[in-house]
Amino acid sequence: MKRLSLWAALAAAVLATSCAMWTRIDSPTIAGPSEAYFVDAPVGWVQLTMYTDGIRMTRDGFSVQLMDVTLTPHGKELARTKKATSANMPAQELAEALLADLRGQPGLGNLTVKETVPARIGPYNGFRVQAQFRNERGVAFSMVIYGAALPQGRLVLLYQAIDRHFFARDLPAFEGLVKSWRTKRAA
Amino acid sequence: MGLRTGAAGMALALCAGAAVAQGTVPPFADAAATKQRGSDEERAWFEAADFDRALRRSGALRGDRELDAYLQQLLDGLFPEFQGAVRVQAVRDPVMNAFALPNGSLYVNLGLIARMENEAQLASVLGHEAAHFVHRHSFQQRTTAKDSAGFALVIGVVTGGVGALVANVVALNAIYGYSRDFEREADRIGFERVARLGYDAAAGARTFELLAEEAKILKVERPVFFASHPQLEERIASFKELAAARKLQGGELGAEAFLARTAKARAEWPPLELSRGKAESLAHVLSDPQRRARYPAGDYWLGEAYRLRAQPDDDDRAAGAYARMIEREPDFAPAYRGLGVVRMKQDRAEEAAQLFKRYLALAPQAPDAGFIRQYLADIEPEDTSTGESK
Repeated sequence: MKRLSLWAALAAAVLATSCAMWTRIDSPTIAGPSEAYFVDAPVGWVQLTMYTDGIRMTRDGFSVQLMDVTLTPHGKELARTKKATSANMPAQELAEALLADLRGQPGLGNLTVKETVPARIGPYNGFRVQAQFRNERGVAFSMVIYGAALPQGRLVLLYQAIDRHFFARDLPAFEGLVKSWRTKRAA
Repeated sequence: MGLRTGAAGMALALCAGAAVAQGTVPPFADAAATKQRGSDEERAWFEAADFDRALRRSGALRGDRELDAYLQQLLDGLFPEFQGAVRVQAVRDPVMNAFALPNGSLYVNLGLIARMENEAQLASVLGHEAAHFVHRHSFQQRTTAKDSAGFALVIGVVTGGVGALVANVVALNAIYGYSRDFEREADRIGFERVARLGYDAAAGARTFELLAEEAKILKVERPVFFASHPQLEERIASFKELAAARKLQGGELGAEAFLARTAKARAEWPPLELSRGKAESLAHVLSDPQRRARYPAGDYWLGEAYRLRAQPDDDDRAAGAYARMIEREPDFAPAYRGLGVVRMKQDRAEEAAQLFKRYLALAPQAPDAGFIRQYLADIEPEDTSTGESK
């Protein structure tokens, strides 16, 4: 009996976890981890709630499009190049470091940068990169990355989508999300 | 790491099998003979052709006809009886690597071409790779291990860039290359072909020395080119023994022709290397003044490598390299930008501002001019009308 209840508890835990993986975005304001920042996300999209490094969302599935917001402490090295960032890193240098790290990811070796320009994210000077890549099946994707070196870490806001139809359709929603980035709940 | 350990175990098993099978399949005699293939080998060729297409689709091929023609000319010189059956192309990948497919497609990475010093070294690489094809090593190894899931078609070791593509198609050989015996056989065949054309007999050993040196400095556990069988030191020794056994000394280097025909590859490699975050390897290659002299704007790229490597004292090293570049070519705008960024990070704002202004004067339309203006606004806030600061 005791064994059965243990199994039941385990099953309930698994169910609870799986139920909590996704949530539909019904009201726009979403908080980052520890409420370190807030963004206005597109209503109707789906947020991956088990993603604890930041905010990740999609509308039609991650293989189609995704938006991702992270604020990572400078001390935590970039995943592939193992490079650290710093608060006084010039924006262009931060962009180069992040792109080099992205190119180390499987399937992103052919990432081609179309444009890198200065940009503002909230009160911070940063960059905006537009890039393209093809996945292993030859499907073209476009990507926009905003980034800035903040005192508390590197802020990255990323949007990628299948080039055809999806990228242009959802780009305004992403640009709106970037504009809404803030450290206090109220816009 | 788990994958690597597993793959290593699998590779060991494959090597044992491959040694047994070695010599059971005769090498191709010439281009015509490559057309006679059994169904198993036909399948390997089909899969290789599939990989060829994937590589083309990925945009990884460099598409430089002049360079490809030069590589092909060298290869045809080494294996004249295989003209038309072995094809070689340059790949836009900064990793020092080359690999061959069972259908006679050879690929040489830009990172390898750019690091070579002369034609004799490049010929050694091509000779080795073509020998794998002519002696049907891939097919033999595949036959031995055809029951192993995910057995690879591609030889050599590919990581990052093309590697990601390869990993999806062919798992093991893409990481660990051929069996030790096959590698040795390819060394011997390649060496004989290179020596027959009168190239420097020491070129093969020097090629591996370059790799071993870089692997040691960068603490690479498993260097990527002609990977683990035999280990690099052993293979350097093997090439030296081959030269000693044939009592060969010296020979043609073909340095001039090589430098002229691969100039574009050397110009393209430093930014490609940095775009993959490989500042350390670029700094290693360019810190040698003799090697640096072969690269256009070598001092500038060394400065960039130090700046982006960002180890202790690298800012000073970078500043020295940029200053040398400016002394050599006072109108070379990017060196002012690089030095300006270093000075800005060192809180030498006034100097940085002068350098940024010089950069903008020389290259007002530069794609990154917006960033430089932003930096200027940061370090000279009184000059800005917005009053915004970071």
